[in-house]
Amino acid sequence: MTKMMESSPQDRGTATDEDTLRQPSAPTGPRRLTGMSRALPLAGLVGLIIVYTIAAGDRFMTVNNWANLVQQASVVAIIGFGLTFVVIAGSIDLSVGSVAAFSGMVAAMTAGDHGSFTGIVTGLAVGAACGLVNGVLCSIFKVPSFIVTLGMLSVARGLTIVVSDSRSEPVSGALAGMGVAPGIYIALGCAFVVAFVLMNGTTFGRYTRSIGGEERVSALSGVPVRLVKVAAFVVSGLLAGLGGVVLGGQLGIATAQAATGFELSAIAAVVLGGTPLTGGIGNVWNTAIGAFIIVVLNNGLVILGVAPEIQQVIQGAILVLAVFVALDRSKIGIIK
Amino acid sequence: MNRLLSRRGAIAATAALLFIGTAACGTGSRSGKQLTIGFAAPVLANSYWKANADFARRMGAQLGVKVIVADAQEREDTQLKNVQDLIAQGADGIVFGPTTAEIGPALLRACRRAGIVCGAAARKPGIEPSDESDSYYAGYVVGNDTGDGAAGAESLSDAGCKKVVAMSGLQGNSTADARLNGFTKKARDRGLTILGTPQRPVELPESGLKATQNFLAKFPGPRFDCLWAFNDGSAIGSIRALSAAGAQKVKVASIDGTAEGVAAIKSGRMLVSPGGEFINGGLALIAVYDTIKGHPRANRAVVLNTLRVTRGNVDAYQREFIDRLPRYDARKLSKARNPSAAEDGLKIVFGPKA
Repeated sequence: MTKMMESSPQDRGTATDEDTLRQPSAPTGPRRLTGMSRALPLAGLVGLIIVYTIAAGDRFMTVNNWANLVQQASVVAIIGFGLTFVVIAGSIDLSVGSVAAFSGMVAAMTAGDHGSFTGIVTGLAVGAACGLVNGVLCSIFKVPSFIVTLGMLSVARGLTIVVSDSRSEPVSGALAGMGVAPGIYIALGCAFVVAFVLMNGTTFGRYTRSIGGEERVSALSGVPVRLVKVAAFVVSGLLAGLGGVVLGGQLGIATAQAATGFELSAIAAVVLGGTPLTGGIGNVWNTAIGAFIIVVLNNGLVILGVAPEIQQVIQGAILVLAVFVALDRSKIGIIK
Repeated sequence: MNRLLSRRGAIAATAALLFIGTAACGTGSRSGKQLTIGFAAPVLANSYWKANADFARRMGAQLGVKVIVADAQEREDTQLKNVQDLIAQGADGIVFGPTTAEIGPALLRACRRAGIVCGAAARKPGIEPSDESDSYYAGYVVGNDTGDGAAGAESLSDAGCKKVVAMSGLQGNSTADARLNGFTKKARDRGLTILGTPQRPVELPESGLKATQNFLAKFPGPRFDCLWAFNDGSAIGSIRALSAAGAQKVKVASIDGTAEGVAAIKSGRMLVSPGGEFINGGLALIAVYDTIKGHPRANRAVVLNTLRVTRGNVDAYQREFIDRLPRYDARKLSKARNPSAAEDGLKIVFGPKA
């Protein structure tokens, strides 16, 4: 597992010494979230829970409500896990919402003809394929990730409309089971474990951080930059595909408009979790916390009876505040 | 470097050839005297607008008109650009479904400047036909959003509801606002108690699911016996959330009469969903056609009364409006083609249509 990603000669820069990458030698080496930065998102989430529990604990702190909250956070969290790899690598993936919709639609249509298992596998394959296209265009052809994934956002949404003819597709059987308990918890848990291990227990995860920290130095150190970035996009696409499949199961139908705007929710989850858009640091655990902050914040505001327009104001303000507080100032020089 | 340049050159050349080929196909299909009418839809990913565009194409085909459909993808600026592009392509007229009420005047201005006949569908474009004597404005054909909202409150009240929660679309969206206003007013008239604040914006199944789960947390039990959603999309998510929470007894009312709404009514999970309004684009196309031909309709502000789809008529509705496009005959409805066509012929009806 730790040798999952080997560099090829053409990917290598000049001198190579993998051991140097293992040293967290700031400022040019890969860095991890500091203890303070890591604790802030969790502290924010705990703070929200305490406030809501005091204000409306009888309705907020119930088993049913928390079961709902986990389910509400699941799709954004799953998509966010994949996006975390891309963001940590210093890129961005704006296509995850559309890729989720495309994957969910293909999965539902395939499941209708060939069974749920084939549908799920096809949906995941579609997501991974979209990620592969993003990764190749970004890493091999050097088109900025913002542009590539903006294009894929449009392409994937258009393909969803083409294959579905704008009609919804009912989801049933095991595919529908992916969206309700216990299937949704299993999907969330599997996505988290795989993403966590990939990020923290493999060379791939270490390389991803390294590239996000200093791409040029990483290349000179022998990190297969292009390969790792392609892999990061594939992981993002794969998990966006899983998110789309789970969303279809959750709703009982796949629609051409599904997951509209989810890319922004997923980015918000990643950023709220303390992963800066400049890359180099971050973790999937924090993205999970970020996803929970979003749904808990919304849920509590509804329970407290806050007007919808005020809810939007508060949610936006908290996003900005969270980034302001959690921002890694050592990288402020390159934030644009 | 040279290899890279040549590769880029090859890609650019291929793209240019594809573009030229596509453009050639586009212009080549235009024939001499056939009228061309553009259809500027706000979002074709939405099944309502897909059906709307399909019906407009059908009406156009019956009138011998070529219909070019453009998709604004819910963006006002894209829709204005689409209308300008349609004008540049030489369209003789344009039907648009305004992405927002605010963009309507700009679209009409573009038509007036170009001397192209335009008409609006689904949403009022912000300018009343009576205010404009210009021959370019064929008027609008829209649904009765306030009435549709009121229909939901009436159905829920008739079903014995006392306490209801509500959700609607984006604040400022004229359709969402009118439907919610219609619902709220009628609910108060009927003595229904609206619990909490209507949640917004809730338009898609996923947002309906989430909003309903939050309502269930706010009013555990649940303490509400009915739910009103401003469209079928969000209602589908709500029904899913209610079922998961074992709250199937909560009665649901919605609007749009889409295939999903029809399925929910047939399964007994939804009381009512006023529908059939998606034909407004096709009817607006007939009005634009008549105006181009010099036979403008006397009533240029058409407000359609939708069909109140319930369990009692859902099978007939599905047969006539969902399983196939409604069988309207544009040649009989058109005043240019049929001088004796009724002035109030543009309406949604079951059974034999004009």
